[in-house]
Order: sequence, then C-alpha cells, then structure tokens
Amino acid sequence: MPVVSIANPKGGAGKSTTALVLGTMLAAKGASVSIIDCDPNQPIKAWATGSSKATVRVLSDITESRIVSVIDVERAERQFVIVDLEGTASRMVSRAIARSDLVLIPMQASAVDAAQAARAVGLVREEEQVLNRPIPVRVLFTRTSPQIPTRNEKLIMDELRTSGVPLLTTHLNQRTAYQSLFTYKLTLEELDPATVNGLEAAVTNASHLAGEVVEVIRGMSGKVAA
Amino acid sequence: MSASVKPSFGFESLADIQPAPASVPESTVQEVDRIGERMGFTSREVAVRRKRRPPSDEPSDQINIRASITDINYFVEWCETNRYSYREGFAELVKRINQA
Repeated sequence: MPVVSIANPKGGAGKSTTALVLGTMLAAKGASVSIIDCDPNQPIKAWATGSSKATVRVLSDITESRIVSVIDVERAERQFVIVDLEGTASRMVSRAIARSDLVLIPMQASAVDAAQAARAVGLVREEEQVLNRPIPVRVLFTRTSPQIPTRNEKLIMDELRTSGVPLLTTHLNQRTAYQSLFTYKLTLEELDPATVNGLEAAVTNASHLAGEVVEVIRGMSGKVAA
Repeated sequence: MSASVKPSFGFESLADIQPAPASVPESTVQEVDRIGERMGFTSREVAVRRKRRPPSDEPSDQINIRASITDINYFVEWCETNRYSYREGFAELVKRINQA
C-alpha cells in the first residue's frame, strides 16, 4: 500500500538507484513491490529486460494523464509502490507526490542538489496544505563515503536540521555494486561477488536503507499497521 | 562483529503492510496542478492536436454506383446514425465482408 515517491528535480541525484535498491531489497524480503519508472530515460525499464529473477513489477511509459490511475491501481494490489520520478520540475512530479504516503528526496552533498531538493520539499509542503493531509518527507544522502562525512555533507545536514527537514540516518553510499545493478541487470543478491567489489557492504547498506524506510512507514500513521 | 549477533534491519515481518486503495479522491488533481504550476512544476508533455479522423496515406479513387433509392436511403441513414462519412461507411462495410 505505501506509495513511496522518489523525487528531486535535479538529475543525477541518485533517484533511480535508490528506487531500484529499495524495490529489489524489499522484494528480496518477500514483499510484493511495484516500481513505476517515470524517468524519460527509463533506466528501470531497461534493467527489467535483464535476466533477474526478482519479483518486482516494473511499469513504464507513464504519462502525466495516467500517473494517478497507475499509482492507485498498484497500491490496491501491492505492498509497496515505488515511483521513480524524472529529474525535472514537472506536473508528473506534483501529481505523483499528491498520491504518495512518503516522499524520499535523494541528494548528493552539493549546493546544487540541495537547492533542487529544497524545491521538492517546498512543493510537498504546499501540497500538504491543499490536500489537508501530511505527506512525510525524508532526505536521503546518496553517493556518500561510507567512512567519513565531508565538510559539505555536515554543512548541508546542519541546514536541513535547522530547517526542520527530516533526514534518513542511513545514506546510500558510493558503491560499485550499485552501478553494477544497471550494468548486469541483476539484484544485489544475484551479482557475483567475484566480479563486483564491496558487494557484501552494499547489501548491508541497502538492507539498512530499506529497514529504515519500513520503520518510517510503520511510524507514519496507524493506517498502515492493520 | 560477532557471528552470533545478527543485526536486525526491521524486516522481521512485512505482513503488517498490505495493499490498500487510495483514500484521497482523484478530484484533487486540478488543485495540485495549480500549486505545481505556481511552483514551476509545469507540464513537460507536448500537447498533440487530436485529429477527428485518422489520416490515410493510401491513394484514393472514386466509384459511381447506380443503386436503388431504398438501399441508398438505408446506407445514408446508417452513416448518419453512426456519424460516418460515406467514405468511412463504405470502408466499414468492406471490413465486414469477411466477418459475415
């Protein structure tokens, strides 16, 4: 049921990687998952043409006029619906956010990403007013070093905290394994540790991320917990 | 990390999260579009003028028929009822030849 939209009007923030990592990890834990690929480059549609045995349902070629009905159909059938949005400020983004239970905003620790992430947060806040319901937001830092946070990261995190924008504790670290997902069109569990460096660490990182997202969903409201 | 201490990632059971229909009415879409446009989230899709009739690249020719007035009236009424041009009505009849 929970619809998790992944939005940042800036391209290259890590939206598709987050969507794929999250979706395949939840599916690996036994959940029914749909990923709606709204990125014009259709990276997840391309991933789905591979030989992965993952049970994730991938929907693509979505238009602005269809996005609402596609989300509504999927949420009635699947435990998790993940919407990978395009890296532009578009009507598709605003409509998807309106149907979401949680909005994840991936961003790299850069001023450019932060400015666009702030736009997405602003849009969510406005839609909350119109829809008269809370739409929880979480900012997710992507491509971070697993070791030491950079000065940029610390500065941006401080500002987000000051502005009251909640952050996920888990970051999606910079890992070769995440790029390999798209190269080999497999899941993390299906990749060969002999050819992909740091696979175990990537699986742990992805598990932490998916676990934290599930915690956020459980904590959002009593509606989710049956 | 000790092998006996397994980390927990919150996946003990995902059974409490189940599919459910949307609780938000679809009628709010226009309001959301208005907010989105105000904040620069505008439509990126190019509007395509919908043609009433599908264009045809196939060459055309004429056919003159001497037919009974009853048949002509029947054909004209059928075309009007179905909002077909005579050309479309004739094409529809041809299509049905092999379906009969």
